[in-house]
Amino acid sequence: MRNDIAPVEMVVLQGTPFCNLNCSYCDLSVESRKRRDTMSLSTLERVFTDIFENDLAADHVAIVWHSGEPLTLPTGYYQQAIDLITRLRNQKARRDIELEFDFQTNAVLISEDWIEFFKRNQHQLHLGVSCDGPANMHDAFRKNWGGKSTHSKVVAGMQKLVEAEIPFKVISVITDETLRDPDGFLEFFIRWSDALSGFHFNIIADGTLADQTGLTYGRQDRDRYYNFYRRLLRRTQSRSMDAAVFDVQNFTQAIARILRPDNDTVAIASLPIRTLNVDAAGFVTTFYAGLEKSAFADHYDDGLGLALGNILHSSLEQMLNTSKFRRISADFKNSQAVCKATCDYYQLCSGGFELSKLSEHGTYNAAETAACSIIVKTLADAVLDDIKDSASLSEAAE
Amino acid sequence: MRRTVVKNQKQLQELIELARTQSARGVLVGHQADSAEATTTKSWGPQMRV
Repeated sequence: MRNDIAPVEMVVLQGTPFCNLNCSYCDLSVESRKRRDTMSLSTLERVFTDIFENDLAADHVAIVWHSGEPLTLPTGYYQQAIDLITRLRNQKARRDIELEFDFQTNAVLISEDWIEFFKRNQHQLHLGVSCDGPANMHDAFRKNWGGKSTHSKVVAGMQKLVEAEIPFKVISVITDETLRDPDGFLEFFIRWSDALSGFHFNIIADGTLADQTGLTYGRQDRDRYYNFYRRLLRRTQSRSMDAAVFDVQNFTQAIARILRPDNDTVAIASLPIRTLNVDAAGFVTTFYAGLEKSAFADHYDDGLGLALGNILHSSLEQMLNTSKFRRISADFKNSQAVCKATCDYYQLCSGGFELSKLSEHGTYNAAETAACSIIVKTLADAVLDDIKDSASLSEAAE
Repeated sequence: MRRTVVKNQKQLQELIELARTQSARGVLVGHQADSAEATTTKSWGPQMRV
């Protein structure tokens, strides 16, 4: 394999951009989410034939249906897709390459048919449910197309998974509502903790959005987020006598980076094709977990944003030999070099903020963004201070 | 709750060393370090919205 790319570890597939909900913070445009396009099986076949025939797959590949509500397509579509991808692996690559199939869903459409499908594929399937906590937090942004609340339907979907003994991970977006009541937020999910295979919160990267009341933040909000993180850390630690242990992956991942600060996580996270994203029409992006090619559409002069091409017209190999690929790759490397040279927190960073820079500063040639400040630096401060306080307490007890 | 200012490199290194010590002693808070996902975008990294 070329030394400027990484093996493919994750393929994000947009089975359809259509969504049954209209969450106001969605990264897809309203127009996209109303389209009923479906990724054809021939598109899938092109993607995975390219990956497997060219020996581009890692030992474990996660295939994730996301970006649009996957459950708006029938179960039969996904069974055909899973069978096709598995067959292609068996025919064109090593059979010991592990395949994992993930669905990121709003849980509203979970039915008996879906439960049967999930159970049938349970040995290689992972579910992620998008839920923002109790109703007042969740319904502030996660509404249906009529502007009505969705919380009760999401909870009903989660309950069906519990009754069927299908574990699921939750991803939760943090808003001003959450910051105001971290205990209420956490208590809601602790009640589901027996069913959860993981829990992760997401802070929307573009905190400079002026039109999203309740979501905007800047460097001046570090105290608010610091206090929120510390409260969650305190409540989820085993040394707290009144709380159940509840792993928050943002913290466990931060601790992992703290314990292994010599890893260049920023560079590793952005290695080309480690993550591949394919939209319903076949357009391919890499470098970041996004699918909307209208973002920064003309930055590379072709109206396609960071898309490298369309898999129905070009092979992955051809895409990786374009001048556009080389330009994006160089831009991301330069962006990371600025961070490495100027940021004390570089070794603790998760990476992936290149487009935040472009959005906030208009150039990759910049360092800190508001998103870095809140999502990386403040989180690291909170976790490190929590460890320090914990050490002081245990010393005092000895 | 006590709030700290942005830490400098020296402060960060001291805290990192403390975290490593606590980890080696097996008393690192209530969480286990999550190595599998530490370097992946799988958990939907910050650039989901651009």
